[in-house]
Amino acid sequence: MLSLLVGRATYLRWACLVLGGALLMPYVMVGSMIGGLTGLSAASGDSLQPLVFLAVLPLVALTGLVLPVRALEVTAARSLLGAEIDPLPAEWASGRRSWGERRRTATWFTLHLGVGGVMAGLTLATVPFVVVAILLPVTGAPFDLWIMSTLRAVWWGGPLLGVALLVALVYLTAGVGALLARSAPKLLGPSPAQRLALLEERVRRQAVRNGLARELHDSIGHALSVVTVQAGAAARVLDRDPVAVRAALGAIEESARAALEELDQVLGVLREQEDGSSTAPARTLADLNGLVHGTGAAAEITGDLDTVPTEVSREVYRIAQESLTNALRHGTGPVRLALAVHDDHLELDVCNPAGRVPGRSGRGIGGMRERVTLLGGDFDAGPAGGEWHVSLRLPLRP
Amino acid sequence: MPIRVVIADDEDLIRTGLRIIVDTEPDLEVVGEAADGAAVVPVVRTTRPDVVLMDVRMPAVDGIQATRLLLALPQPPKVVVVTTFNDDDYIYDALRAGASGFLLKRSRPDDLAQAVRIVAAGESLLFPAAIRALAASRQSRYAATRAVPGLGKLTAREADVLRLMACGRSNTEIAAELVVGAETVKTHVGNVLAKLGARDRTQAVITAYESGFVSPAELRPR
Repeated sequence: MLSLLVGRATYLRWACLVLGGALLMPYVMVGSMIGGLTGLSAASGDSLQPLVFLAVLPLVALTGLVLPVRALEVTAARSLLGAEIDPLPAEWASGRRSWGERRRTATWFTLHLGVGGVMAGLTLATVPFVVVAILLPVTGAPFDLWIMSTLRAVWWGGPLLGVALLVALVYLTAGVGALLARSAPKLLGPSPAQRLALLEERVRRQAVRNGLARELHDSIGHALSVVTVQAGAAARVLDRDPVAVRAALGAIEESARAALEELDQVLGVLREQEDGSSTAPARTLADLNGLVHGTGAAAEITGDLDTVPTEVSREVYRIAQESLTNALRHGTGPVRLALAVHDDHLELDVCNPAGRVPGRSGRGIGGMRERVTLLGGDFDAGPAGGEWHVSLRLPLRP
Repeated sequence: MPIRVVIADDEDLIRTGLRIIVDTEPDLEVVGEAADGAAVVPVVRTTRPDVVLMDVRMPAVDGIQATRLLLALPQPPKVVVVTTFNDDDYIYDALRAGASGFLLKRSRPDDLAQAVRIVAAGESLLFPAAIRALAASRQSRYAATRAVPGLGKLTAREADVLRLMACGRSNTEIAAELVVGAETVKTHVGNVLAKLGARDRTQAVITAYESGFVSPAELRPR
């Protein structure tokens, strides 16, 4: 409990409350002016201040709704209140503010200025009184208040009350500050829906990363193992068995080349991801025509691409891209791509004549399957009738 | 008589490479190959090897299942699991399934040959440090479920021997440390294996770690 009294956090939060009070000042001044002009002040006298305070709150809320106060408030809440506020996802922060977010910001702004105004007022009233009360035994009452004469009855009455009031004010501030700090993340951080979307995005990235890790593990690790074992073997029979050495060298060359190809592909995906997260928006099915044109594949696209949710659209684009790349790299003939968007699901098929079916089903297949499964769909890839097929089916509605 | 070896790996380039490495050792001999976990059992039945070099990841029947199948045979061979990476969860599963040790595919040819000899002789542990690390990372997972009644029946001397085995000491080294004859150590080791119901040294040490009888922290590697 003592730490509340002397702790740095309490005084930083106090500063935040006083800041709220300071931000409220212009509103109160405008309110008082209007009150004065309309002659209300003459009628209601001292009781005008609380009235003005209540009357300007809707104005504060309106400001919070319209002006971009969120950035300022987030900074204040983080540095002064010590609140942990998760950043909004980049696309929400930079784009247009939704009304839900505006409402929550306005609520917070009103809360901060309202509560801050009250606490700043209390501070302004209490601190001078405390000083006077503590100095009462030596200075005498500078102004005539009923309580002054009561306090002067015993000499320590003034200092005692002063210190007690000050302590009470600090605790009150600590309590109010803590309440504000607790509500800040809810009002200034991502909404539950945004949190969910963030989480989904994180899971998706994780899945992609896991897929890449597995691909590296399987393909590069495997190839390097072959290289090591074959090189070790070749060194052992160098003098005795030139045929075996030649075979080993051939295997080493082949494995190393395959590993480099895989590495190229995985690094390509990594770079693409980096680009996607920093500047360029991820490509969607709207870009599919360009992709198909670039690869020279025969494409048949039916249905309305605009009805496909963004998340699904991006994923299907990426899988189409990976499949086409694989088909061009490993296939032997023309590539065909078919995309059909139906009411509640979509289907993608990519197929090409495969000369040599890869022995291991690497080539990013695992990663694709993982991502499709994550979106609740079915995925299939493999050889059929002398061709290599990649096909998937994804639901468009939950 | 040379140590008879069977190689099981789905990748023929790994098989041919390992075969050359093993065959060029005068005291080792490859007597069979298998491209799949299912194929390894009949090969072992007909060739009766001393040691099987077993790839972990194979299509259809993987190396762990194949290890279980092999160890169910009468007079089973010793199994050494061969993997690409040593952080493989598979390694530990394979050791628990009864493999005597593991090898990385990137091991130097000489080390690889030496590993086969060590496992065939069965008188010291393959990669004690790695087994300790693996067991340590999993101790909490199994400790509660592994109460081994045999541990209580060990004599003080046998308990000492088990601790030294876990440190990776060979029979000769244990004999020197306890100032007893090599034959005596052999008897102690035999008793420890019998009381713990362990197939070999590796199994006994895994049991010792998992039951908490030996804590990885209290051991000093050599």
